[in-house]
Amino acid sequence: MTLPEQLKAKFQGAKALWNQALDLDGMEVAAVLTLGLLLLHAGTFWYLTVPLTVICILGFALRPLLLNSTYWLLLAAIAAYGNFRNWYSVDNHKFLTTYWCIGLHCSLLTRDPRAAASLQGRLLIGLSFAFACFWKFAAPDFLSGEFFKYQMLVDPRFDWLASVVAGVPVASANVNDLRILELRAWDATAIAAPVMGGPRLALTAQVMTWWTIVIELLIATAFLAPAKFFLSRWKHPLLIAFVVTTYAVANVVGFGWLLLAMGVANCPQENRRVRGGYFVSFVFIHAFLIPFRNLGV
Amino acid sequence: MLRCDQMRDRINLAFASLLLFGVAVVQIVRVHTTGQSAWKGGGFGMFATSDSPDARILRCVLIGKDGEHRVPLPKKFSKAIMLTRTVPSEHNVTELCRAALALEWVREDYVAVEPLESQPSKDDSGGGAMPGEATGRSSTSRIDQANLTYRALGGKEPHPPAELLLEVQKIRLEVWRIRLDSTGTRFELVHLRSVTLAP
Repeated sequence: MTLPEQLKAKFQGAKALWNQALDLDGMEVAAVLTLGLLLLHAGTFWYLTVPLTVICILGFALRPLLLNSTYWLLLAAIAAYGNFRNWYSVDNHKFLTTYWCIGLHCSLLTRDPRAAASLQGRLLIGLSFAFACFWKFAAPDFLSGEFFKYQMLVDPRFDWLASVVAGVPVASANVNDLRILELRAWDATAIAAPVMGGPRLALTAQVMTWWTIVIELLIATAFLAPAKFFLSRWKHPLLIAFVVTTYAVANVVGFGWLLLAMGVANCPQENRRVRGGYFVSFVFIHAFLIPFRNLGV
Repeated sequence: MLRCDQMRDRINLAFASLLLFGVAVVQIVRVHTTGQSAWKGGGFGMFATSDSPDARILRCVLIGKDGEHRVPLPKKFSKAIMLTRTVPSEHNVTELCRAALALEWVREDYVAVEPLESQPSKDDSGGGAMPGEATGRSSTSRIDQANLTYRALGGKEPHPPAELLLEVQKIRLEVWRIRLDSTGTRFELVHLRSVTLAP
């Protein structure tokens, strides 16, 4: 067999595997994705990681557990306990993960679990984006662009964007870090310190502000509106666009992972192109965990 | 009229969403009544405001006969510090202030020589940076290394001579928030709450 023939055979094998993945039951795929999320991103507290690791591995090993309502109730109870113990420190997607586990449990108690899980995914995505939009309108510093300006200056996750896009020189960023540290020192008395910005900081912040508010508003509307509403047809591409653009910058993999799991549950079985989009996005958000800057890229 | 199984299905379909809705509404109310950061508490207010718990700082000031002394809070208060920064309600700030008031404050250059095993552990020593104060890049403990101040006496430390202890007349705990000013040219601190207690 020549090399081109070998490559062609391998490509066809990969294509067959890809097609098989697209044909998997949507609810099972969502359940497996959720188990992976709980296994790897549940938190660092022993009372979460120990039981969740055991239970998730059992779920991977014993496939019928994936569609067992009691199994999901147990996972939801552990996740809820973790939220309860750390109510004011856990991130919002930990709450959403718990609701999603409860949703899967409740779906499996209905007469049509797949349709129920699809609806749960739709409502949870829609509501979480609706509240996110509420806060963006209610917060005094979001619409003005101040929030993203501040984040680009102080949040290390925005460093790349600040230097490459907003034009904040690395030396200025270091000075800003120092000034923040001086303000935060326990023996500090100062209540202000000058900022060193960049030529495109305000413009970049405005673009990010309006992109965020528009796409979140569209997603909330698309997922909460009735299916016949024209925007509903675009809900999955909108969610994928959000995940890809947002988590490339602020890489909260757990949140992106959860949104994709709920999105897959809501995606019709026959819509292979969108399901493929979800799978590719899943790989994409993990690709941004690679420390490109440390590799010199 | 809905049949029993239809009703059960509807409850099962709505339960998780109602839970999300309920928690988020409670969070909105708490943000507006207690000063809780919108980032936390299950209301999906993350990435909407720069007023995150990370952007909030606590300053502890001891007031003695010889004036005011800014001091670091001990690391054993890290949970209470985190809670106070996230929810700087009157109650939480007062509780943390009361806990700091209950401590003994010793000159920071006090070093217990004997016995060695009763030296303060890393977790309960009074010195060092306020826990949880890091921005994610790095943290700093202080600005002025030359300015001698006080630190909380560790639980296992031997009692120092009386002249090294501060007679605290009052203690003030301040909660501040860092933000960009309206012109975007400087970081500024906005005062959120202060509580002053006397023994």
